[in-house]
Amino acid sequence: MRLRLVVSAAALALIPARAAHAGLSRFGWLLDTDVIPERAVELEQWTTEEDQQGAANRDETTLSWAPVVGITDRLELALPVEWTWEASDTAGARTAFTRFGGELRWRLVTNDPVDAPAFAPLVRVAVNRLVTERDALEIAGDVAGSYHCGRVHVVANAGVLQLVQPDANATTARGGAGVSLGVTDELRLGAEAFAQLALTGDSDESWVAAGPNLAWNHGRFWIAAALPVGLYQIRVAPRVTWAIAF
Amino acid sequence: MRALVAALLVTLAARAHAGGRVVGTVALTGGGNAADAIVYVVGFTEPAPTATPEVQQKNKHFVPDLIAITAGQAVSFPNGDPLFHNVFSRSAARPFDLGSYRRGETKSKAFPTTGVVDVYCNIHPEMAATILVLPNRKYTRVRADGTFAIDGVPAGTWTVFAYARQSVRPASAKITVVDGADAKVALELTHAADLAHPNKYGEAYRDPDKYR
Repeated sequence: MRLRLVVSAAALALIPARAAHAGLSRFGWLLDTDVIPERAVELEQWTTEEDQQGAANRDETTLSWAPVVGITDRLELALPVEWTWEASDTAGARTAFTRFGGELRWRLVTNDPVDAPAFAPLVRVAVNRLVTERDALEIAGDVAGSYHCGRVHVVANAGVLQLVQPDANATTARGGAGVSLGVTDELRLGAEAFAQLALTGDSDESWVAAGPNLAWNHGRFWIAAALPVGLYQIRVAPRVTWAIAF
Repeated sequence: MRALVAALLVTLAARAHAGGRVVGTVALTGGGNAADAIVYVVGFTEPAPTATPEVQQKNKHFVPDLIAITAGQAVSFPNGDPLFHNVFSRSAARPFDLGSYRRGETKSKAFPTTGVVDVYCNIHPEMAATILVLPNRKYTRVRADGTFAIDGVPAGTWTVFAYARQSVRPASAKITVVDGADAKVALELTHAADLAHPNKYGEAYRDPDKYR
């Protein structure tokens, strides 16, 4: 015991520094549970593809940008804007500014790298205005839970997406689970599965996919990508998310 | 009654001699002030005091810029400047990021394990401090004349360290403490450390001339 104390004290000035904690994600489709510190600002981008989805073989590419602001050490606000290109067997191709809105992500436990418990829950609430459907509003609520142990990070999601329209409301359940393993301090590899199921409205919107993911972070930058292969009503659904902090 | 008083006196006398004292000098070669150094003894553990020391943010400096605490204690970081500061540490012993906060706000952080924690501001490179998280309460700041004394050190053979922020490395020596006696030690630090440090993202600051 005494030897250990002496050795640790002697090594006091020789401990290498490691990267500061950031509000990074380790998954392509899944909601992770880290948030940025109070008053920190981050710019996030999501790029999503859904290829040959449903009976009409709809192809869709979505690009979203969102400034993210740390309101407290546990609560962050994202303000996404989204552009979409889509084409299908039954409709021509179109590109549109599709939605904008606000999103609150509330981590229910501390984000401190030392004090944080292994299990961390997070709640997300989002409201989006649909630009191309003038009378529509989209409301989403999700819960995420992560478990972190050494190099292993596991996350599970469940949520509901409600389309509010005067003549055609639709409810979609969505969720998934994934695992991410730290290969180095900056690189992670894993796998994830994601599903969205139309509970009301057009059942052709439902799909399920699963596949590998990869995440890398360096300094103020992080990127996460997934390449899920379709298991139900979709061929492939790649998604890349990256962010840079200011 | 007389026996009780006698027993009490014997107990108090024994307590007065419990442990010994570590005394000595710290010399800083290459410039600097010996009073910038802290001396501490390691090899045994003690519970942490309940007090929460402060490291203030004043005039774009941490005050004091070197403190020692016992593992388990917390440190508060009040912002006294009319500017935002972002206190953080990338030290493996205790990484943290307090985010940005304004004048009048205070945030604190607990330090559960021993180690050296270098603390900086992500906005102002000239702000730098070091927190020595130690296994016991046997530490003291060196006097301006370079002398120091640490009372109540338990009997045994321990290692004594001197640490200054601007020294190349800590100085250390083995000491044997005997109850009721002084253990003397002379330590020498070299004042020449490279004070450059990255921001919280691991990047160089835009104005690195201000490192201190």
